[in-house]
Amino acid sequence: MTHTGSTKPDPATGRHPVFSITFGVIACIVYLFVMNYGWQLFTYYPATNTWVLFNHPPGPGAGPAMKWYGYVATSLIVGGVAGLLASLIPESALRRFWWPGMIWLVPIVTTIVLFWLIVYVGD
Amino acid sequence: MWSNSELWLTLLILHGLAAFLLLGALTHQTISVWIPIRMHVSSFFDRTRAVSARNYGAAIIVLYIVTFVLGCIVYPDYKMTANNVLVKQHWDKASMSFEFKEHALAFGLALLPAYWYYWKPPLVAERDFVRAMLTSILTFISWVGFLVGHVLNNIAGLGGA
Repeated sequence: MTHTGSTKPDPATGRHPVFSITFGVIACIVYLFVMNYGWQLFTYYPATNTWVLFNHPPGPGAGPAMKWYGYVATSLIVGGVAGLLASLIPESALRRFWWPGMIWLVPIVTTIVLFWLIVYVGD
Repeated sequence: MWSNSELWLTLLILHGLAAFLLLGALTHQTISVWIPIRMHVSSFFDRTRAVSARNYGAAIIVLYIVTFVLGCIVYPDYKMTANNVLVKQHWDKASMSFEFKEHALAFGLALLPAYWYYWKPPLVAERDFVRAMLTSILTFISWVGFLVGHVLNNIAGLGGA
């Protein structure tokens, strides 16, 4: 692995890292709930070029629904709000439960859960 | 000026090219963070390892976003053409692999701010492991996205899309 030579400790705290890490962690976790329970912010119907809020029923002949845009939007907004709130927590309080390693462990776990949801649970 | 199908095809090719550049950058970066070169460069593999990984960070973020946005634009065309073929032919595993791709790429998008932070100079040695893991996850996601997209496009072509 690359070693960069610095020996400074790495708390990865401060507004930027706390926002970035919380955003990534929360957005990945929330995404699974959003897709599994259909909490998308909006739904798109390409056949009629129609956008509807949440999963409101479309008009007749709307064709296949595209929920993925809504999944991404919901997850990123929730992740962004969580990141902002976390970045406001004082560092002394944050240190008790702060572990930057969450940012690589969580996406691995959520990807495994995602695979299980798609293959074994389905729509 | 352009017919509708020419426009979709052009956007799809641009999407593929952006993904190709992204994969090249991410693969180089991943190899160089896990097995960096410490002696003189002689073989092709040594040269692959010898790239300056720190210079790739910003380019990778831009390429990921560009590829993602182009993917968002061409997605409705996929849904109305290629996906219809998969559904009609009951190629469920192919459909599921696309679902996995789109969701995994959304995870990748969520990781970009943290990736940016971990590759922001000065690079601190204590962040090496997290940086390498984040880079590897993004590489895995991008390879899955590229291969699934490419294969499904070909499968749909076989099915008459």
